[in-house]
Amino acid sequence: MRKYIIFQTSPSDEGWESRKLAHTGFLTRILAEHYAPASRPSPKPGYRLREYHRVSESADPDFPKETTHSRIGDWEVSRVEEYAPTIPGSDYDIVVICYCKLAPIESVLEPLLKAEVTADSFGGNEGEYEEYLKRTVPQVEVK
Amino acid sequence: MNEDEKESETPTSYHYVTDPEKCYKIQEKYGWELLGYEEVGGDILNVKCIYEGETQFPSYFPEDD
Repeated sequence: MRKYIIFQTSPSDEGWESRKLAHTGFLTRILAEHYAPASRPSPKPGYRLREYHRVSESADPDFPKETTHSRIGDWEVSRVEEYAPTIPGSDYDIVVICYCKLAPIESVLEPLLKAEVTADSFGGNEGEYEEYLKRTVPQVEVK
Repeated sequence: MNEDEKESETPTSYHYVTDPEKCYKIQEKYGWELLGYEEVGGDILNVKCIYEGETQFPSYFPEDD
């Protein structure tokens, strides 16, 4: 039971020149896509997407491309539509489109929590996880 | 504190994985909401998944007065 949530702007909303699909260079209305269990409530008007940023001074050299901070973003959901599949066996039980409008807000840039590494990082393969830990945990020299 | 500030307190968690598919598998396994995933430049773990949902309370609903 899966839910696919798409957050969209209007085509000509401010900043349209920079909203591009990276692999094609085509412009897009999509701001974000979320995936959730179908039982999870859909966003309501007023919900805001978070923005993610990379502050180079805070970057982990082992993960040099990752974002390090986030803030409550300037896009706010103004209208929500939900669609159910008409064909049996569909991948999603519900598709939600959240139409957003730009509503700038002052918000604090907050550091992100450190990401976790577990066996799930390796698809549940405990052996690969153990191997990773051996390679990355600093070796303590015993005298 | 307004409603937007309340939403900033929604629990969010992050998980490094080896490839994007695993972000979806974790999402389904734990019933979390996958907000996105990004390339992070790690040698083995090169993707970071971003989740919302370490709470049993709906995160999208403003609290009732």
